[in-house]
Amino acid sequence: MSKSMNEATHENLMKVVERAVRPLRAGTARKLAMREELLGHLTANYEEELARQTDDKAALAAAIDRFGNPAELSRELAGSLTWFDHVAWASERCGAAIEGTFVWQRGESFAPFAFRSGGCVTLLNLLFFLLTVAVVWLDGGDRFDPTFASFNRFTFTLFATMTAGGVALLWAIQSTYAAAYRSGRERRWLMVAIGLAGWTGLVVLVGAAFWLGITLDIGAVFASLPRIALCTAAVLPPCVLLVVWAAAHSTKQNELYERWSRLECE
Amino acid sequence: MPNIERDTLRGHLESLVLAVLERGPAHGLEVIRRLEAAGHGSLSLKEGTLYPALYRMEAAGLVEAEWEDATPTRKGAISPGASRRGPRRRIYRLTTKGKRQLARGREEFVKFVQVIGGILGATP
Repeated sequence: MSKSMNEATHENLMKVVERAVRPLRAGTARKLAMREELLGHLTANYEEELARQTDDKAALAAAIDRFGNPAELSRELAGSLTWFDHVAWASERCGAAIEGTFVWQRGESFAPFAFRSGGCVTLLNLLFFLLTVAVVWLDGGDRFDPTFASFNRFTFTLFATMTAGGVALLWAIQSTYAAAYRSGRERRWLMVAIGLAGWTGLVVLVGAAFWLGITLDIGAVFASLPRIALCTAAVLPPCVLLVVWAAAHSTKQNELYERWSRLECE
Repeated sequence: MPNIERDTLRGHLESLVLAVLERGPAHGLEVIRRLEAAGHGSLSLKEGTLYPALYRMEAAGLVEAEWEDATPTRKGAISPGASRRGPRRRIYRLTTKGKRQLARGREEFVKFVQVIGGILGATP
């Protein structure tokens, strides 16, 4: 905001931009970039108009008129979005839904939070369980033994390895974030690489333990180990890096985003 | 001279922007100023509508953009508005693909003027 502009005028200009940008189905980073660029243009318009006329309101109206109708601009901006913007928007919506389900909301009492998140975890586990049973059944054919004992073993293996894998994954994310983004320090890429390699190895072991729990055949586990290692190495490091990068950027953008999202511009 | 309204401009806006960027990199407001100066005040364009065109051209690789006054604080990190107060501006420049597109746009426009002008009996 320049010295010649008061807070109310600045907010009015922000509202014009927000009316155009808020409806867009694009990711937060893209929309913040658009907001900043459009606000920069509109602010420059306003300052030019203010130099021509002394009345603040007339300058504001002229600047907005030059800029154009926000609803129409919004439609044109929507036409300029790419498939990547739509994917980013959809993934952020999913993230918000997950956060709304699993994160303890401000002011919420413990019991509803516990029932909600516990119920969702149970449903997810049930889904994962059924999927895995289907995979084992398809893979094992007539070797599949749907008895109570085998289900108990399967369930214990699943929950034990899921917990270990989850802890390893979260730790990998935390340590990678610390190595890459710890404030006031240069990024330590070697530490990032060593950490990712170590955590990948641990998750491979967890995967092997899972397979051992299912098949009870150490030979089959050794035979599957290269495949497990290859799949884990292909999936885990890129996912961890993506999550770390997204977390670092969302932290930086959070404050800016809060300011725009608080605007009432309907 | 009557104003050329936005709907008439719409089909040519991208070529016009490419043409003004051929003179050198510019931010959105500077693009508008160059268009207005080149059009001698006859172009009537709501300024906000420039940006969807710029974003489309950027996605198509015809122009590339970078933030003005972005000061690197650490490798790969950008500090927003570090050396200039207020919102930052993005500087757009023509790419090689954009230059080729501009040349094609000029050829098409010459052809357009010849054909339509011939029909209207208004060849320059």
